[in-house]
Amino acid sequence: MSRDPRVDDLLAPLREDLSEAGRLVEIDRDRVLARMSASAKSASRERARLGRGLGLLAVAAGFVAMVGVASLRKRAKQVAISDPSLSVTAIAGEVTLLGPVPRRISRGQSASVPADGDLATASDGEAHIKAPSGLEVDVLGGTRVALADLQAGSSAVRLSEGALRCRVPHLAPKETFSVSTPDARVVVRGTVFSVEVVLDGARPKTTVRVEEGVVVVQHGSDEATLTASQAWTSPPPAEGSPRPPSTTIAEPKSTDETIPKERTLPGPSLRRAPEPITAASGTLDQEMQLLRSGLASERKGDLAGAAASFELLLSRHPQSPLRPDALAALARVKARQSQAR
Amino acid sequence: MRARVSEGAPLLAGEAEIAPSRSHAEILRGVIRGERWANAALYDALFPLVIRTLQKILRDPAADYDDLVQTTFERIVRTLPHDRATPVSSLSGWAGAITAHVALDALRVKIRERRLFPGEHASRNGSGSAAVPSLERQLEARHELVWVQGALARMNPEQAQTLLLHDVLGHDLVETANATGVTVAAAQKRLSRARQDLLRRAKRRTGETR
Repeated sequence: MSRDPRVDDLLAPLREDLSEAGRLVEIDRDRVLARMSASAKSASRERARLGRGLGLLAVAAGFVAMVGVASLRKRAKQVAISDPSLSVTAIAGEVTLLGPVPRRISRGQSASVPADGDLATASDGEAHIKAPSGLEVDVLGGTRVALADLQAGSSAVRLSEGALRCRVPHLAPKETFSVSTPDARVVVRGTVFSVEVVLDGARPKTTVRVEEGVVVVQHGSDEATLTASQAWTSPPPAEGSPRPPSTTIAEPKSTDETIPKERTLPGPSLRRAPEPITAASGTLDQEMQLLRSGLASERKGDLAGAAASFELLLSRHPQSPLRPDALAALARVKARQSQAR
Repeated sequence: MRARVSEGAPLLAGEAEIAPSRSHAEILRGVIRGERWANAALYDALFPLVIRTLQKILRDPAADYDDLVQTTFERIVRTLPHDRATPVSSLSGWAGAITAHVALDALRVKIRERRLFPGEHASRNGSGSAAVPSLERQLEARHELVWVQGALARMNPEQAQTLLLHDVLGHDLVETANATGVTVAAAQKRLSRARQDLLRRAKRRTGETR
């Protein structure tokens, strides 16, 4: 039985024949059979109870898993918000990070940069900045913006010259985001809008266009509320005496036409702006330019640059008539990028 | 403990006369459903093995075998595989393992009672050996039996069960592993440790007697 004879010796008393102990014993067979039936029934009940318990446990485990996943996602979001770096993509032209060590970002390239220093675009340059808070800013040509203003927790961006297009995520109650220009302050609460500052000689002129949501423009002591498709241009100061600001609202001529016309807000402190805003015709040109730029990049094999142009067109002009072409081109470019990888 | 019984395999010797038209799996399914004919078939098939195993391990004519047999069959019914499709490859080995478990439990109870009422057990053992010609030899054999039973009762239950199945009841390693629901390697490890434990206890006992 065992390889070790000592173990065999020790177990020998159990291996002996059942001469004495093996006498016939009386067993109540019916009693045993009755107990077997009872045990089978109670065992099946226990199994059913165990199954229900396991079901409840599975439901509870699923709930715990959902809570865990939600908490992980929340934590990941918090980590992302606490990350101070900004994602900067050069869309077109010359894009330069101005800091202790100036750095140029090539067209189509993205870089994660600290929220420090300034970002400047040449007259033909464009850049896209994505902040950890979800704020997205398109920095258009001839613009210089302080990156520190875009870091998490900041609620204002200063714009001295150039143009920005901002996509602001929905903000918490009592939270605001604003763009400050030399002569105006644009306060927003979750919207898509653009702010442009043009230096007319020594005088800055600010133009605000709203694509989605609501924007409040504060100019001096006046305030104007702009909704989607409306625009505002700061008025020139009156000669000899300070003049009240004017608010010019651009709205579509008809439902199928996107070229806005001017409308002046009524009110004693507001007057008609001296120049109309021709946003839509300029927008169409920009849209076409972006599409052409993307197609040209694609032909040259610059897939990253092409994708950036198409994405910019889609994000900046979501209602563009060129949107289907841009979508098709973007899908084609991404497919080629995947193949190249 | 999980059991494995092969579909359609014969039960034990002698079962064919009891349930000739019933397959192995049918009987087990009937037992799970609590059907009396299936209980009777299983009982008649396994009773010889169960009583023999109990007697071989306990070696006590005064033991309450009626209760022990009942306990064994209740455990057999309760530990039948929940999944009816799960095959049981060796019903005899599986039933032997359960019986050995019941016997070991009984041994532990016996050891506890011996500690509490030493005189009663001494007289009971003595009366059982009165008719034997060589009283001295009988007493020595009884002494060895009581010691090994005590050692098994104090041992790790799984190791003791493996040792009983393999070294006392004569199951091979594969049968032992199947009956106890572990791999052959695990059964081998349990067996080795059980033997070492037994030898260690024997060595300690020898040191104490000196």
